[in-house]
Amino acid sequence: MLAFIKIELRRFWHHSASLAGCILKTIALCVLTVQILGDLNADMIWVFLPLISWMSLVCYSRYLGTECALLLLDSGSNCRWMIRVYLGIISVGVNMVLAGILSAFFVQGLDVFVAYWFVLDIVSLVMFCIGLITSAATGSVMGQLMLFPVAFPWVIFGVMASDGHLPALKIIVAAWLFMQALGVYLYFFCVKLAE
Amino acid sequence: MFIARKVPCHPYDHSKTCDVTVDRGQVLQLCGLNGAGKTTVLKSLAGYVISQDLIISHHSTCLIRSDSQLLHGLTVKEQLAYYEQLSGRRSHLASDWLKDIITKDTSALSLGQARRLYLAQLYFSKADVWLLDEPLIGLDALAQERFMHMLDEHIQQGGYVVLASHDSMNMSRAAICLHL
Repeated sequence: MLAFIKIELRRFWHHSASLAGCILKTIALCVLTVQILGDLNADMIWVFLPLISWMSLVCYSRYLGTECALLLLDSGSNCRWMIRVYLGIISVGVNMVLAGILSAFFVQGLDVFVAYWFVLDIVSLVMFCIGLITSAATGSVMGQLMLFPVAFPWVIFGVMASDGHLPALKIIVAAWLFMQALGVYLYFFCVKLAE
Repeated sequence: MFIARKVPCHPYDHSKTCDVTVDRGQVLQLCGLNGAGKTTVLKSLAGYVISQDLIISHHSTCLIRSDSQLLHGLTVKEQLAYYEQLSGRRSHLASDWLKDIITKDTSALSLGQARRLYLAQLYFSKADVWLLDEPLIGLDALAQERFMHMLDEHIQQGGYVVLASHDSMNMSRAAICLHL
């Protein structure tokens, strides 16, 4: 396990420059949008959330992109645990950190932090899977266009959850648990479909 | 025996199919012109092509593609450690084969060196069936000889090999040719 972590840290270091570039681009886009709109409040962050998930998408494409996926799947080994580790690393290392920064910035409660985190997780994985399928046939633009229909319901649930609507938060948590349980299979299915 | 029935030869048009039968310790070479469907057959056997008619006997497979799949940002030694993590099996033969490039970055490898590193994962593989798509691309004479030795060892241990190659394979046992 220690050797595996060491290898992944090496890979992370190799991709850190492109990840940093993506973070800067996202910040620049958010700042620009805030400047145009002239106001920033806690509810507006839900509109930016799909854009923020872009950062996770970069991590997904670096760690679970075609080269890695094919290497894992072609080997015939039982690599589900590795995919679970990758998904866990991105969920905790990127999405949870982003959610923490956002909820701390707007002085939000634990429920909103959880909603930010889980919505980021759901949107970014589903977006990545759509990107995998569409990249083979119609190019990544199609995947980016799917951002709105995929992200929209979760943004609505997120707004409702941050307004104290408990059923909306329950739906987000249920969807997140479902994704944690079956996300690996969804990922494998999409990779195979893309092939 | 490794048996596959109604294996698609085209990724979308599943009307053209073939049957694959490989005995234990045997090599099956897929022969055919460019575009005949050799790669599709290998991908189908690896489970990538979804067809309702396809029937495959239960065996673990390892697919080696014509383009080497390597992880960027790692050295050759680290890539071998990755294979080790993936399979849970150690192999000193792989590091011995790659000792001249062991400290090199994977992105700095030549075509043949990258191919050797990609093929080295077979040393770690626990799969019965090796599916090899143009395995000799870029390999020099010495590397080809080593690779043939690796194949021989696998078939002597009772493994199965299905390969697509335009080159004649110089193995201890003659390969059976399946024309597509």
